[in-house]
Amino acid sequence: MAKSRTGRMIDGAVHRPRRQLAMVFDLNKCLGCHTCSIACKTQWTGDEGMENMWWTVVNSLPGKGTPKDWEQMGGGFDAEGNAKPSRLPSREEFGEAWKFNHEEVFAGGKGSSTHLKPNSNPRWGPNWDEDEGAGEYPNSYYFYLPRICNHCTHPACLEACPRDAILKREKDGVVLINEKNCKGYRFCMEACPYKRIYFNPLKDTSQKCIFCFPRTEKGVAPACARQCPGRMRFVGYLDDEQGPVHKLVHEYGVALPLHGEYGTDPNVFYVPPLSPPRLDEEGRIVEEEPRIPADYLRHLFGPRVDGVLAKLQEEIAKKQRGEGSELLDTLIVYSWPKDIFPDFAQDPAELPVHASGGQQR
Amino acid sequence: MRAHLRKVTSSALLQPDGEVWLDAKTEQIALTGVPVSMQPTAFIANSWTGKKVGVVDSLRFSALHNGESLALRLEWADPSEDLDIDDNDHFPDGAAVLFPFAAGAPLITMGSADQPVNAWHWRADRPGEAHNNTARGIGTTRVTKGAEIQTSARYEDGHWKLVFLRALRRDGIDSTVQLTAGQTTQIAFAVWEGSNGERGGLKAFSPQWHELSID
Ligand code: SF4
Ligand code: SF4
Repeated sequence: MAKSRTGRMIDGAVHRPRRQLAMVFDLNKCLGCHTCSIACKTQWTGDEGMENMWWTVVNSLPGKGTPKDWEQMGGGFDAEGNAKPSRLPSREEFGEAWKFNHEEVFAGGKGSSTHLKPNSNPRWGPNWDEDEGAGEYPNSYYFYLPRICNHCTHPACLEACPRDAILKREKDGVVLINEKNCKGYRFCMEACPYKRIYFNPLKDTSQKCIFCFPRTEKGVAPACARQCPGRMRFVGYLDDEQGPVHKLVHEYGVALPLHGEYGTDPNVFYVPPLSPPRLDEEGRIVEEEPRIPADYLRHLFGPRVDGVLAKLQEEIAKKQRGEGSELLDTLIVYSWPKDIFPDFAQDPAELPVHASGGQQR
Repeated sequence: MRAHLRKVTSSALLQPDGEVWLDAKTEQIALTGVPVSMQPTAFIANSWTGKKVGVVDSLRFSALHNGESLALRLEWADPSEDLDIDDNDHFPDGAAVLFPFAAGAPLITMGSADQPVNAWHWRADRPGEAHNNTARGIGTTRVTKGAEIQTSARYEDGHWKLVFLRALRRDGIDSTVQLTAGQTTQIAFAVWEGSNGERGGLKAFSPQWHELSID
């Protein structure tokens, strides 16, 4: 049986899709509100067996993330393109779907003697690092990092699967698990260096973010992007020169992949977080030293991050001087939804409801 | 191996500890791990280099039939009973028997495009049934309905004892082998040790076809 080609390294070159859908997350606008996570959960992961799945998750950084310490697990490819071993994260490391004592608090007459809490004694969860941050007062800092499947150009998950059950679509580069072919071996889950694949023990299949393809195919933005109150998730084709995604990634060059050194060539890009300057022991502002240490941002986004932050500062200064900044205007998103996902501005509520064609949620 | 005829009920054959098996002939089948070089993806090969694949090194095989159904009994040593897929790194114990649809199908590659093979696959987390698979090469197994392969398994004293039971003929179902009394066919074996993370091509298998004659 011929294997699918898109996304595979064949004779030393990765076979690219005709077009690639991508997202840009502007970390300077992320509120840490988790609306994206709830939007995705409501849309896609409400079924039994999916309780603990958060296809999009928001992590507080610095922190160990979801699953716990995923950055230490390996996977992806080395500089020569060889697949790197990893390990399977446990359900506890992702965080279980805790059950709460709703009954006791709301109906059991204990409303004033106990509080709402999980029935179990969890030791990790999807955003366990919330409110921790790092650094010493007054130089403490934190920021939010939303994570989804990166719909990588060279997906480690796809290359690891022995059953050709993962495909990268030729028309838009979206990476999907074909649940009919998946036998629940979890090699993909192990190989993905971002640990963005979950295992459904009831279906015995792996599952992950689908880039909301049933929505994008109707011109509707992914749920996480459309619901985002911070309006920080840009969506579009990377080759669309008029679109904000192309501009931010290629023209202005201010959006960077997370851990590009993992070798999978992600298609989710981040505008790195600016931070106020540090204060010295006397409380004086140290202009050239941001509170978020440059080393930490380099660790996440690679060596280009310094240049990107400098460029953002420059553009802010321009705007402050009353000169225009196309880059900042793009990031600001004056007109929603056309400035943030121009090709996917369709309001789902205005789509005709099909008589057949499956369930609408 | 000869599957002798015993005038007993099918449910008697299905008991791994049933009396009918006490005097059944047994054959020791040597198993070997699928070599890392044969693993179908670089990720799997790179992850398992230097690790033992296929930790179960043999099984004991017996076969009987009652004119209607064929029963295959497998027994092997396994120090841990792995029954579930409740966590991401839990893999269940498993075993399979493999038949060629026509003599001569390649075993090592799990059949080929024009020489398919038929696997009856039991997993400890799916008690009572076996999946009927057809395969035309590595990574191509497809589960199909209608073969109705029953299983019964017991784990005791560090051993799995497992019986597959299926009607000799499954008329109208062409995705599973048809068997008849008087016939000689070929059979091969595989065992997955869950606690070693074995799944898919990470398994122990019998590298040659064995003969199976149905009396
Ligand atoms: S992020 Fe992981 S799951 Fe998503 S395409 Fe890349 S390797 Fe595959
Ligand atoms: S793109 Fe859709 S499936 Fe993927 S994380 Fe966002 S809401 Fe979930």
